[in-house]
Amino acid sequence: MDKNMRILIVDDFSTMRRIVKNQLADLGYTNTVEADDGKAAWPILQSGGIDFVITDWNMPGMTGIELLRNIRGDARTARIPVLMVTAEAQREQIIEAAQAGVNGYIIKPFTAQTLKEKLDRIFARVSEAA
Amino acid sequence: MAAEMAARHARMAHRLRELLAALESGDDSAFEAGIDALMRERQDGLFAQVARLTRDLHQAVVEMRMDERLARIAGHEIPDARHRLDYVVQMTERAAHRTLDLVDCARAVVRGIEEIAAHLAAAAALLERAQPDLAEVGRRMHDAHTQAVQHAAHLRTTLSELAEAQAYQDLSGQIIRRVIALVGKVETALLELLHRSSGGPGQPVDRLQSAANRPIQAQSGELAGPAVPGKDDAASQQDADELLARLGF
Repeated sequence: MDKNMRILIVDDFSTMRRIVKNQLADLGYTNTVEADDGKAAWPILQSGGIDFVITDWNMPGMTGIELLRNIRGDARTARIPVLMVTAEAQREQIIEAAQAGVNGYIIKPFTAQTLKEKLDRIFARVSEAA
Repeated sequence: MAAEMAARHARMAHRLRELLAALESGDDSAFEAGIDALMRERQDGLFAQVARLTRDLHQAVVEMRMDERLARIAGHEIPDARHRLDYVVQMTERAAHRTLDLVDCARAVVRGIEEIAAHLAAAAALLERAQPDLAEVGRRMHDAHTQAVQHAAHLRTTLSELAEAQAYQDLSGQIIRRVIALVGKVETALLELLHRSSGGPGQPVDRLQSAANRPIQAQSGELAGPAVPGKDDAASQQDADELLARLGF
């Protein structure tokens, strides 16, 4: 996968954004941009150039699931892969995210290895579909 | 209460009639005994009334203490606990950033070690020449040694600072324990209050106690939040993967 792809990291905790950013850097993805909730992420997505979104679920302003629905509901962003990284571990939530069109679901706390596996899987699917 | 009063009145009327009869018949000793009985009757009533007043006063004092306790909890201890929990959030955030800063420092050391390895490889390549410049090889190895010593010292400091940065766990743990104790106090006070207002078993308080083992239910639209091990019926990453696989992901 293109290591220069632009990845948007959305989480209301700056430490979690930093951890994800560091893990991505270790995997060779250094082109990242951050937003602290869906509301802040949406204009960034609208302005274009984002290739991948990693988002938390529970955030003030706009939650991750609302952001996901907005992404899928807009023709300009509908095809961007979205990976949900969240502490929400109820089965209903996972199903809800799947129905909203999520590409991967990671439950916090997670390891760098899990992030790598999910990214690889999503990229494999994206290139299969292309 | 009314029946008790009527019985008392009947008793008084009876005694007064006996007293009148004794007076009319000139029976002095019966008259004296009757007066004594009447006085005693009056005193007993007074004592009963004093006892009732004492009970009411006691109840009022108990309730006042209860009110004071709740007022102290609501007015002081809960805002204090909120403030402390805010502090825990700040402290853990600071500690996480400090840790991540130190991890960045350690990454710089890793890059330095990679540079040393490159220097050593270059020195080894020099040795492979037909007539190696041994002085140059020696200089490069000396540089590599100096750098390795510096990086080792830097990494040692970084690691001990990393360990120090974990002190937040002790502090935040203590604060959270205090808040847990406060929640216990609030629970006890609320149960007492319910006991007092419900007036006996089979009342709302019993339903509350039997519900105590149930987990906190998220209100509709609210998320469950981070799962507590062994408490919430939460999916693991593996469960989530299996669930998504079944859904065709």
